[in-house]
Amino acid sequence: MLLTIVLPPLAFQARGARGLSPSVGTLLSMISPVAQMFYMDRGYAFFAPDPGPSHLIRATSDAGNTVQVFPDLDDQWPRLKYHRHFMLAEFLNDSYQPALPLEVSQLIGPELSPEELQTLRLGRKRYERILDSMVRHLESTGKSDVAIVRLEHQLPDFVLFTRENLSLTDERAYVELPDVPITLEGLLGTAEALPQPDAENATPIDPSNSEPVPVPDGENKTDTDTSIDEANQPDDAQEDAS
Amino acid sequence: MMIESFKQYAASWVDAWDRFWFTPRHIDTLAVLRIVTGAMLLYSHLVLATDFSSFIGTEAWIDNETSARLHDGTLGEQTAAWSYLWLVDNATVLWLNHIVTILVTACFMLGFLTRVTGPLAWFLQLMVIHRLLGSLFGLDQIVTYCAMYLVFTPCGAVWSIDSKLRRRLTDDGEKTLSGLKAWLFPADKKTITANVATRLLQIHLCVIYLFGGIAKARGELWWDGTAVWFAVANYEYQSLDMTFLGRFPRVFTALSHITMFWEIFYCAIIWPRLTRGITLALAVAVHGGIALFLGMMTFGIMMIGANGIFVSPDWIRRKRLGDLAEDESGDASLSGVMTSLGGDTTGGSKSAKLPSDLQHRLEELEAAEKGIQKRYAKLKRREAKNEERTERLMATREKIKQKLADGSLSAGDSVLRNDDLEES
Repeated sequence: MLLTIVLPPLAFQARGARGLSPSVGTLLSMISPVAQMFYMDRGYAFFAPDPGPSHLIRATSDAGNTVQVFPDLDDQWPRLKYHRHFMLAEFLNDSYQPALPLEVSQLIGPELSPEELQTLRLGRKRYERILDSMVRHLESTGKSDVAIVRLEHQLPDFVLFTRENLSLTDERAYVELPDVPITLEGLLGTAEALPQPDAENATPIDPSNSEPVPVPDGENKTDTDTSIDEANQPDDAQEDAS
Repeated sequence: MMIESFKQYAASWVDAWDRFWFTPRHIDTLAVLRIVTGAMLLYSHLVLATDFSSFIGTEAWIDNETSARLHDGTLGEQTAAWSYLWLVDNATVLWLNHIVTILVTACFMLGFLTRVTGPLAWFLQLMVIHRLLGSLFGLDQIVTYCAMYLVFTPCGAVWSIDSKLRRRLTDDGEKTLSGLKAWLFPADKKTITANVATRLLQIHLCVIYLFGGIAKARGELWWDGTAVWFAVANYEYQSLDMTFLGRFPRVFTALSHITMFWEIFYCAIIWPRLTRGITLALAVAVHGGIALFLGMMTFGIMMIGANGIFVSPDWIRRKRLGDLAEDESGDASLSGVMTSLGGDTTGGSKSAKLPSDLQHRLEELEAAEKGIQKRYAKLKRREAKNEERTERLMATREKIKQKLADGSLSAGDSVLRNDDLEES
């Protein structure tokens, strides 16, 4: 029992570029099923490593005539229901895995093993499956032509916020996260090549000032934690809304 | 010498381990936690009912099939987290299941047939949370853990319908319950089960905070102190606007640092009596802040409730029973045996209760007697060792005296140094 309490969060921290620490992994494999069944396979990374921006879902439907954003305090009450919708939006974002380029199979070799490619494909399939399910849910509520886009609500730095008297709901702080295929270069290693928020749409909060707004990056977490299972998922996202 | 001291150290360690895990404990703290956990579980299920089809069923945000695929290995690693809820497509059946879940949880909260409704409420909660993958957060974790540790304890022994039923069945303590009834309607007494559950939840909380703190320490913002700012500036979390803190960097950076260090060291400073109060006060402050300002009232309340596991059941008992609890502790202080007897009163006259539960008390006495005999034997062994050692020392002393007398040893001789004496 004590191992079931301690090992899952330890395994979450004992994970690096080469994967999970073998010693921890060996121990974890012994208690993993119990931990998963009893919902103890958690990482406990509340607002950690750093509090990050929120992620939302923008759903357009009825040929673009209806736009809904999830979560929405006006639509979801009590707060617990709102929070569950908020976590769904974070879950979709955490699950995001960019599509692979068509010529990706050419890369199989020393730099990209077939297993890695399979993992990437599975991650994309997982994301598409979740996205499709969400679209179907909205369609079941009577909407048609539903399209879902992920949004990131960026956080202002306190200096800029107090100096410029900014609003947290300034529309420039909401950045659309496009779903674009990963490039071959990106696939071969550099995180920078992963699709970033659309630079044109990502207007700085203070256009007159070139000082960048320090925004915690997408690896940061909110109040949610990461489960071991989710950390094993093939996508690049480290977050987990569950 | 080394082996002896190691043996003694090992024995004391085993003793401490036994005391930590297996000292019988009153149920009062767990009974309070049962009410808090049950109420939170019930609230969570009721809120889910207000938008049921959005979360469970074939038209949910994560529909049945997707939910099953996310667990069965089709879309990643297979997990043992299983729920029958993704197998059921019929909305009526799902609703009936949810109504049962609500009723069972309400019974658990009220302490009605707690021995049955407790494990059932926990099982139904597991089924719900595995199905709700994607919409879960910290609340679901802590409330499920509390339920898990509670359900195998006699937490329905006080502040419950069970305790009232027990009083009625025993004619207010005149009769004795046995067999299934005694198990179903547990007496208000100290149990090892209550202690084990308490210790497990205490350790689990320590682990949660330790790894929560370590995860924070891996970031940058908890170190430069801006983490609290970025938390209060998150509009989606915000329930009360605290962004005025942006004008007071010294305040929010201090809050960030305190939070991180408090989390990391919680596992150490919660145990000594000296620091327990301040540690719990910080827990109330941190989680109260999350509840009031960061839109997670449910999570905040539940975490504060879980921290209550460090509150002594005897303290709660004194509040509940007043003088009667004082009498119990008085008895307990008279004899080690009596510590396992004190908790058997459920109110009313203590003397009136004694005959009714005599059998049970006799069993407790026997168990306590065995414990004392074990302790006595251990002390006797230690005493014998001490006597042996004293005798050895006396013999050495006599030898030295003799040598000094016959002149084979002089007063400044190095043999008289302590280390030589030890060797001899």
